[in-house]
Amino acid sequence: MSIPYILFFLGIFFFALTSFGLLRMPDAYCRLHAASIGDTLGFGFIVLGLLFLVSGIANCVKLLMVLGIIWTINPTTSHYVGKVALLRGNWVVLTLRGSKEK
Amino acid sequence: MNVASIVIVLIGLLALLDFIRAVLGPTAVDRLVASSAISTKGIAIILLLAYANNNMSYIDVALVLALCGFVGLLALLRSLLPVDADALTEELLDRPAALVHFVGGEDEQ
Repeated sequence: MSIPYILFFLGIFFFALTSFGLLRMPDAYCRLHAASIGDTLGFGFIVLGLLFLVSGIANCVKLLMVLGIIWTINPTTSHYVGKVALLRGNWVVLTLRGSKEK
Repeated sequence: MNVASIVIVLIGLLALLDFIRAVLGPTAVDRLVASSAISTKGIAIILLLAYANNNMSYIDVALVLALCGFVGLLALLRSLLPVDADALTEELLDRPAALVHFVGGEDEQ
């Protein structure tokens, strides 16, 4: 009976990694990295834990639909956010570090 | 007080930490990233509420919130894209080394 609770703990752990990464990272790109990866994995663990608890095959299929939508949407929007950040010229920290050698 | 309620409270506290970044974030992209993370955490909270209240129609609410959040985020990103985005993309694809020398476009909100 403790398998879904372990999965919930793992989900909260990766959500916490996302939040602290968003707070502590120095750059918009590092924050984007932390947010996209940690949120996607933590959401997967939460839904996987709920699959053990929810009764009924139709509800399990709907949970898997939500999981599939999130796992498609999160990397796609992260890619587009990175592209918009690059085109807006939002990479000053990167530039300073790159120009240190020359 | 079952386990799902405790998990909901913990995820809500983590969403508050994301909200701090959305308020402090120096650029618009930081705020967008933080709001996207808050949206994902909100969908997870709604799914856990469906189990905690034993009312499975909340799962449909989470589905609709995921799709509407995606469309809203895309609209905000399209409004943030610069006007000469295509020409800028071509230039960056031609000369990737130009990234190091382009400092002028910082956006301080």
